[in-house]
Amino acid sequence: MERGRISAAQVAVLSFMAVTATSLLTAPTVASSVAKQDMWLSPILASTVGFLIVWLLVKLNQAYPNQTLIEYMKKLLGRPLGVTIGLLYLLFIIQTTANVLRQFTDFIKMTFLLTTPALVIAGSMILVCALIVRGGVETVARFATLLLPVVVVLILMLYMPTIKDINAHNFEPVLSEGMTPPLKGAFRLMSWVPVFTFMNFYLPFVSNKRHMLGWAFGSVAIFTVILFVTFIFVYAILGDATPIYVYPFMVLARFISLTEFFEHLESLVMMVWVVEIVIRITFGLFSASIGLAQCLGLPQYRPLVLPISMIMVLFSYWGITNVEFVFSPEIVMYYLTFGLLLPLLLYLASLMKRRFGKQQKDTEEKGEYAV
Amino acid sequence: MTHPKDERSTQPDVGAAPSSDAMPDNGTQSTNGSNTDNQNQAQQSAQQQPSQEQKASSNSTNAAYNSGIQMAPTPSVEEVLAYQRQLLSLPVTGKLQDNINTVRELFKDCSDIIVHEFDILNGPAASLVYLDGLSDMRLIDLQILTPLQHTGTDGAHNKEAVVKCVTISAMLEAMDFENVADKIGYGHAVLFMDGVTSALVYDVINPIIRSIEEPEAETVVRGPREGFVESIRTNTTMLRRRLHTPALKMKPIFIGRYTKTATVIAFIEGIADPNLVKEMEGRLSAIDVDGMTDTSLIEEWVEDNPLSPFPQLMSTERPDVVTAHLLEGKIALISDGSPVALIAPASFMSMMQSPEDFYQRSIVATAIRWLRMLFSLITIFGPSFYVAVLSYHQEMLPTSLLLTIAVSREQIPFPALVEALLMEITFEALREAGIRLPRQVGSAVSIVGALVIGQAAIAAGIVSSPMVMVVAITAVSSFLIPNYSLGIAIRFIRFPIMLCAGILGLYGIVLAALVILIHLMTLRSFGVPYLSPLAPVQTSQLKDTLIRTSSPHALTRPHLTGSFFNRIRIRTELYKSRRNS
Amino acid sequence: MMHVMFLGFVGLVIGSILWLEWPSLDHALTKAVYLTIVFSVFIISVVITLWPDTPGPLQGVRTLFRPLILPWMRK
Repeated sequence: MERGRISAAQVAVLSFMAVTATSLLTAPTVASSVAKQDMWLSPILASTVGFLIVWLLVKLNQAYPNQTLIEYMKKLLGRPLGVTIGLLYLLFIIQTTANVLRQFTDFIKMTFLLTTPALVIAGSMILVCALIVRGGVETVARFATLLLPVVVVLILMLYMPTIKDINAHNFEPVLSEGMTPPLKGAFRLMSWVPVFTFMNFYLPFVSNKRHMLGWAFGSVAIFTVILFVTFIFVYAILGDATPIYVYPFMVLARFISLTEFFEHLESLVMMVWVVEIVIRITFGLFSASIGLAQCLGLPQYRPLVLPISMIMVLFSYWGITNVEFVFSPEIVMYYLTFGLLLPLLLYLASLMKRRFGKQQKDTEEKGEYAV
Repeated sequence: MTHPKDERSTQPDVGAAPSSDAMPDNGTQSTNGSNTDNQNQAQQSAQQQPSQEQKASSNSTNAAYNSGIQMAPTPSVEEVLAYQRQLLSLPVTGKLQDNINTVRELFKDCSDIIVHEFDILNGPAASLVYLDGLSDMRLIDLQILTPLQHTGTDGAHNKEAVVKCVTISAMLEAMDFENVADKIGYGHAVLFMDGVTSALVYDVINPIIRSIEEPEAETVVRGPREGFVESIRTNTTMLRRRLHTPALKMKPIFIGRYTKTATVIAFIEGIADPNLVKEMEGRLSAIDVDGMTDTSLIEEWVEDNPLSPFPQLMSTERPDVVTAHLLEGKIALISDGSPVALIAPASFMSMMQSPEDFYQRSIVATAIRWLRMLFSLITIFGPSFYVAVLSYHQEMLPTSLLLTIAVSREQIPFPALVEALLMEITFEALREAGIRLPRQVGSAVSIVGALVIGQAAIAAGIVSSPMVMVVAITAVSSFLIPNYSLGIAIRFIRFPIMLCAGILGLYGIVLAALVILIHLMTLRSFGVPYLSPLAPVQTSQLKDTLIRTSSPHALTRPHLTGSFFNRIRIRTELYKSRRNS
Repeated sequence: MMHVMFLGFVGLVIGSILWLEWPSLDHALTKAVYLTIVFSVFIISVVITLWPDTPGPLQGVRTLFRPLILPWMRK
């Protein structure tokens, strides 16, 4: 179905950039609304879930080397149950990506292109992503790797001038209500972390699987670090006002007045965000296309890319009147179910199958090798 | 044209009224025998046609000729082609007169063919055939005719004696007329001898070539100033003057049924990947065209992706550039009649390098390279940024600048996008017109262009002065791109980006840039990814792309084009030991 | 009127991608899946345009997971 090969480092960079995309812009608000001044602990706590998810996926991939989650779910749970849960999982993927698309469309519409119809913005974005996904897994991975320096440089350009405005006293009092607020903040961050589960669709195409676990952990770690630094910067500068702004990062960009000339750099933020959202949506679109093709047993996934992108545009409008909806706890539970619970159950099922299935003749090969 | 009742018919009226249904019969019977009857020359050779059936038809058409105004209709193209093919398939016979007749038939309406029949002293009768102008007549007279007619073969009637007599070293033997016709067409002189069943072909080609000048599109300040010319022998000689090694191989291929253009695949054996050479040979031998006049036609046939605006083979007129790329493991295509050599595989970054980078000092060259890349970005995105910022993101400009621009744009009736498109298209038209300007008019027209289009348009309120400035900077920066084909591609993709900027602002620019980036990422030139050291990141090659490392540090050849085995190109132990001591 | 134009545009887009992609869909199953998805998208977009308050998948998720959240919310 897909004959491309990518490297472990490329998968790590791709996942990290995809997950960081939306979280940078809106996570500070969400976390600070429950955790207030202790929000800087939330990324560290949330990263445990991230590490767990990634570890589960790599272990599952070691047990079933060339198969994605949909395929070994069909094998572990049997065909009828596997296909049903697979379709639900695909709905989950499409839902999350559609949420991201909607957030992005609202952001662009509210801040820059006020009168452009939302369909034009969303449609043009999804068309570019469909183009990338149709180029195959190598294009997706290479694209993320190519744009990594651009994103890093632009983010640094936005952090550097704000250093002089940092006010460390905003963080006091530290942990005044115990660990509960950071935990609640970490729970809110679960809107973004389960996206690491999409990584499983790329693991079968990795050529050097030996270092996969290291790179995967590295990707989660870098995500944590970036989120941590962002939270610190945002809260140090904006203080208690953070929960008020929908996009604190943008407010940070507006603060920059290094010289008279470098003002109003929110357009720069927008450009960085467009690039990151493209990566995020291709991450999801490729997963959904390959997942659907494997779930239904189709030989090719490329023809499905355009219909699935149409579904995504549709889902980004259906029933969502206000993007705040997306951060509600029910949605977080939904994400956690499919992002964490499903791989966990599958992993336990595969352990049980290996333990009890050793007596029977196992026809499938198991590629076990040490990490 | 041959209507029987045509009063201006050229045939004399010999009596009987023409009947219109007699004509078609004559038409179907008219083989080339009747064709030759109507011609003035070579009428006697009609009776000596090797094919027998034409004699019968010529008799019948003789009868038809006598009976009326009917002119034998002109033979169809099909018949002409069949006759040519038949003539070309004949072998060289031992009878001199047959050979001469065949040659005369083949080159029937060629006024520059010379068939010189003579007797070798004390030897057989012979005839020398050549094309006037292509062959060097002085050489023929001196080296072929003088020994044969003054010294002769001392009674021997065989080929070896003639070979011993004529003192030209570039000699071949031809057995059939296809070969003979080819060789005469190239300018060789062909010697037929009575009683010998092959013809001797002597290379007496008169080289008429342009003198070697500096190529106008690729000038350097410091470095060699030779450029390729239109003769393939001169071009390969220029390469050989730089690479004095038998490892420089030049594989010949002839392309085009009528032009039979000689093309050469040049590569250095041991450095170039043999699979690449074989792939190129395969692609070239699949080209079956009527004619090929320039290497750009090869380029279209051989490319992986002819629909992309970006060139996938690098074209250059300089032999030092070709030499440098051959030493990196690439292969070059040189063709007769074209001063442009093609280098495959090509990558984007290799086309952004100027040969001058390597002739200047490394730090200076690195700075100039960065300047070039910056200005390439300005070429692509300059007008688009102007349009996007003025239409959607006015807050990005500093206030004073914004006020100035607003004042100058106040009377302009067009929105920024239309103004930008207008100016850019006008400038492209000017540039295209400038290529064809005769030199005398050039300076006058450039003054007119600057004054009229620049100043008067601003004064008339059609465009604003910031726009003219943007267009001027864009135009100047597009000249920094060293390779002309790549420059055209970059100038061309500016326009879709401008449209996207006008529709969606900065977001549109980002999307359009991403689409172009995706296209470049998936483009391959002979299997090598187009954005080669950048897209699949190869850190070992970055040293030659982003900076120009000084020569003692450029140890290895580029990886994807050269053989991995022979990748060390500089051995620096002696150099380092001398510097350290 | 705006609705009609919008739905016409959506129909046009769907028609054009169907027309362009049809020769490359080899399997019958692929054709079936493609058509199903594309037509359901069109039908749902008609429904959303004419009745904008139709509950979407997020509402479904919300109702499904609300019982899980309720014990925590009370805390």
